[in-house]
Amino acid sequence: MSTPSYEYPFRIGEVIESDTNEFTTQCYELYGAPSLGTLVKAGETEPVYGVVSYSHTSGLDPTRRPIARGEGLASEDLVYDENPQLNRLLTTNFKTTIVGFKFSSQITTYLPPRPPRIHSFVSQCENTEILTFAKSLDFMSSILGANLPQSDDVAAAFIRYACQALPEETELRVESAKRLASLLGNDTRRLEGILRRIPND
Amino acid sequence: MTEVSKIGVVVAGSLGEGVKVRLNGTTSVEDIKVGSNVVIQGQENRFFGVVTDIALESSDPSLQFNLPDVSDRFIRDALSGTSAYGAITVEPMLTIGIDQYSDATGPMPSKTIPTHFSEVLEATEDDINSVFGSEADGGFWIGSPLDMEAKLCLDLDEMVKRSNGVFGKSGTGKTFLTRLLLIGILQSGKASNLIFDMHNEYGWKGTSESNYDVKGLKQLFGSKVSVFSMDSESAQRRGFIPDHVVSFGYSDITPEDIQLLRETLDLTSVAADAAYSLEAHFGPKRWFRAFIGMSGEATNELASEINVNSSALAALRRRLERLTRFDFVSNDNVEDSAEMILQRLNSGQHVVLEFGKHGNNPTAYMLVANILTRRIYDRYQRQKELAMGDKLAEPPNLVITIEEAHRFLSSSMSGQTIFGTIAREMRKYNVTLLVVDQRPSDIDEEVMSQIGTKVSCLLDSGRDVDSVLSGVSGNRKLRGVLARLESRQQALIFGHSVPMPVVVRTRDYGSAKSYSELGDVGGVNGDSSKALEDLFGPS
Amino acid sequence: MALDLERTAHQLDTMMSGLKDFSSVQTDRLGESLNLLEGFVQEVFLGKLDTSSGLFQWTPPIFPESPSKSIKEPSIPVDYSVVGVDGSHIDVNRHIPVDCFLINTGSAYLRYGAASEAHLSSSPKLFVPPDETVISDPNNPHQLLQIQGTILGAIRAVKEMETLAMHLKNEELANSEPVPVVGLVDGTLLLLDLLRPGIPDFVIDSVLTEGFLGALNDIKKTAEKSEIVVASYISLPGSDEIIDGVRMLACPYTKSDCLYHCGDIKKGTRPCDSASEGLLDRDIMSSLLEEGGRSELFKSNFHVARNYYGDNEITFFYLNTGYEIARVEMPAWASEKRGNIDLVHAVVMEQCRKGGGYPTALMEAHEQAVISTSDRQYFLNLVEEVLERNGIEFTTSQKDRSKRLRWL
Repeated sequence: MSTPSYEYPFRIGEVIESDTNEFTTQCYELYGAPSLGTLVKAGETEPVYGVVSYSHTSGLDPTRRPIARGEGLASEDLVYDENPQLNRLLTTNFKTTIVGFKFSSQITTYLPPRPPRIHSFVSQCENTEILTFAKSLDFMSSILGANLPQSDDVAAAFIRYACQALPEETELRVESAKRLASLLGNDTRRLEGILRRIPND
Repeated sequence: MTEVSKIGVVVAGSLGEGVKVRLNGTTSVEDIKVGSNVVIQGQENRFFGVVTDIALESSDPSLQFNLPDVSDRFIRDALSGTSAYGAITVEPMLTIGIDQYSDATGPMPSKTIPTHFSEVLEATEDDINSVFGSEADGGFWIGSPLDMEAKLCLDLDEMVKRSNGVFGKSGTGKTFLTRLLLIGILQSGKASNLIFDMHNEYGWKGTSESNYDVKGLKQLFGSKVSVFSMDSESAQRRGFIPDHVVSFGYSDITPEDIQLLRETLDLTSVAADAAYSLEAHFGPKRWFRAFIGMSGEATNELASEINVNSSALAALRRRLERLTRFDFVSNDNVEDSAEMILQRLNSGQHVVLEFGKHGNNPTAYMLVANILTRRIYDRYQRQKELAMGDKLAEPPNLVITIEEAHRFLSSSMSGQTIFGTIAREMRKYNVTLLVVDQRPSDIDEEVMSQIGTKVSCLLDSGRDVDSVLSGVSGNRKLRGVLARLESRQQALIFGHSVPMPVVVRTRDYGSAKSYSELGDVGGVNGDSSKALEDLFGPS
Repeated sequence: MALDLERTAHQLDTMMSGLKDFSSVQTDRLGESLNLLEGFVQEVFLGKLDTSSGLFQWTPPIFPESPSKSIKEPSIPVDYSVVGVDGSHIDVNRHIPVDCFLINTGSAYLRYGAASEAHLSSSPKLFVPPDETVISDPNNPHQLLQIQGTILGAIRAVKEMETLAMHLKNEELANSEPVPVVGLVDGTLLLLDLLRPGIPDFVIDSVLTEGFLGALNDIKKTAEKSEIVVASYISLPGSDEIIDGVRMLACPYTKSDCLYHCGDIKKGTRPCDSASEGLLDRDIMSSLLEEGGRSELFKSNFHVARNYYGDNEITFFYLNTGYEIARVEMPAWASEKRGNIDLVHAVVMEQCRKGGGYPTALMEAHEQAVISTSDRQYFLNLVEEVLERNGIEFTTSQKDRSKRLRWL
């Protein structure tokens, strides 16, 4: 139930919803969604890449609402220990904005001709893949333009994620910021807001 | 300068206003200087241009009102070069062919502008050479473009064909530049020089702006240069013996000279015109002596005789007496200095006429310059006409250098003085002027328009700038460049001997190295001895 | 408007006025019955039960020593498991050309304690003609009973118990360090509907003996090896077995021969009515049981069942869960050990607390089993599709079509 680290091993879940722009993955583990901004891939040989833009945990059955269960319990974990069925009844899904795909072992940074199939396995990406997308940032315009309330955070989160995953790329943070700046040339306010979310660490 | 550095891309522009170049993120506006040269790689042409304006721009109009937190270096880094960027305006001056074929035709004035997003590069040495020519092509290395080490060369062939000008307010290095140009002409042997050295700066020793002695032409070129002096004492004080001490007889003075001296002698036009009447009365060559020797009563009689206002004539006589006080003007028959100078010039030598103490006296300067030039010009005219197109018999090209040229070439004067004639007639008789002046606005417009190559240092007043730039295309932008020249060692050159206006940082002069580069090349290598032979051979 | 609510509301008002009179009578009767239980003596009761056998019109269970006692909630083990099973079905639909039905059994395995975990699953089973939709007499193949309605309900109970037996067995096999396990089903273990007159013996044999009790016997076998208990939970029980016993206590006659003594007396005015008429077991129990407490164990005494149930004879107790009075039934072999009853008591109480008044395991099993209206429709569509793909025209009756397409 802990947040996966960057070394998180392969499979996270499966695609349960898929369209041209995004796909939804159901996690194998409750609360198993990768951090916002993480690059994941769906599919095995010619995967489709996406950046985690939204994650959601709720009851499997939409008609059943969770109720408060922890009154009188010493810790939050006890709520789950005392109600083991919760792990089965709750499910964590996450949405990913599609940012590219691999075709004949070449990664392209634009939308694939078709989205991943349902039940495609979704797994975390390797550093070389992260680097490809971090260097291109072609997809940023679609994330920023998606008009999601969390668009800016996703953009910032991806850059944070890439910088953290690729510590040897020392210029990545500033280069990415410049790319953002050129994308948001006429909206410095917004740009500043995003940049503030990419602290130097 | 080995690596070509890209500085930005073309984003807008027009032929009239120049193209706007957005600087890339790594180029700071502070690294670009107005007047520096850039190359724009268009689709079919390579453009050589000059930076005429530098601006700070922003893609977000609200940026200046809602200032982001620029104390955060990260945010500043992200914004600079992207949302907030530098822009320069480049005037495409020349089109250089991209391929071998068009290379042959050389740079052509730009008749179009580069396409959008053409890359803009710093000009390289090769670019400079392909535009301005190189020393190997016979160009004269005058200095370097701004922020570059490349050698920028003048086309001396073009230069000596026309009169040229060096302008700049005092202390900006006019003398320095003139000296360089003279050396260039000397080195190349394309023309002989006659230099009216008003302040004793060219012949033997000069003083640099920072007050140390620099070598004169005589020291660099030895026997090729003759130094004539108006003031042997001054020469001796400075430790050298002039080749000749110039003097004139009364017979050398003409009414025309009096016209020229009208202002300095404070003569009314009636009085000055009286000289012509005197000449008519006494005859040429004799009139001055006769007139100056007359008593007061005789003058009055003469006035009525030749029908000139007597008080005017008296005034003329009083003023002309001043001329007799010059030690170089004598009643005796003297050696014909003009003839001597001509002989030297004809034999391919270069003559510097030092004025010594007289340099501070405009009357003396103008009188001497005018007398000599007139006679030399007469001779050239005759020689040239005699040669009747026989190139070999033609007198060698002569470049006459005059300082404080506005005294000879003001609009009231230029119609009457020999300098005005030379300036207007241009190279018809193989004589051209090198005009050195700090007040170009005082020079007659027509004369200015005839000046082939103008070398302008920083100028003081807008009028001077206007007069220097009059008739030059794109002069509004050049104005900006000219106004921002540094006060030393920088000059804007435009006209016939450069394919486009260019700002140069003039080359070093005064160091041992510079002397060896600039001196009489004959002593240094064999090639130049051939040049010397060529020089002396035909005459 | 399909239902005239205005008129219905008026009728409801009338009903309420009748109920008001009724409730005061009820309170009196409840008091009376509590008094009777106060003075309960087991030997007297058992003796009377014996003498009145066959004559008494009701079937009281065998009362424990202190039927009005409330037993406190025992402590619960740290580690234990609960397996809940529930089912639902899609009945035979005569509007479609095939007599098939579907039973969906849901189960919830919940393990508590150090290694807490949960498994939820459901397993649908489609019963298709010709063999699976009928029960036939092995001695006479022409004797057939179409499975539907009541029988289908019983079949479903069998499936549930079989599923529970399977889970308990798996649990027993899987755990190297076994913990107490409580298997729970929803509803009564007494399949009295099957024992009603008119149900052929071969059906009872097949469904009850071989099916339901067979599964219970399987569980019993598993339970011999480890601490496994099976129980059923009945929410809001409508049973009145204990009231039947109270009637006997209230009967003034030594030998409770109802026809003889009270045959002519109108219902409601019989002597025993004063302590029992209109009351349910839970009415009494709610007065007797403290919150969290259970009653003593009663043994069901339906003679029709006795022949079939044997070792699996049903015992039961009532439990005040704090939310309601629930009835918990256990087969006699399981309730033999007092520890088992305590375990069931403690676990069911805890389950009810977790589940907000209903055992979590059963609730989750129900959630797994439940077939929503849309799923029912989808199932029909699937059947339709399969049939049509195989060239069988899917002709529904006009009525069914009109139900599905509501045109104007």
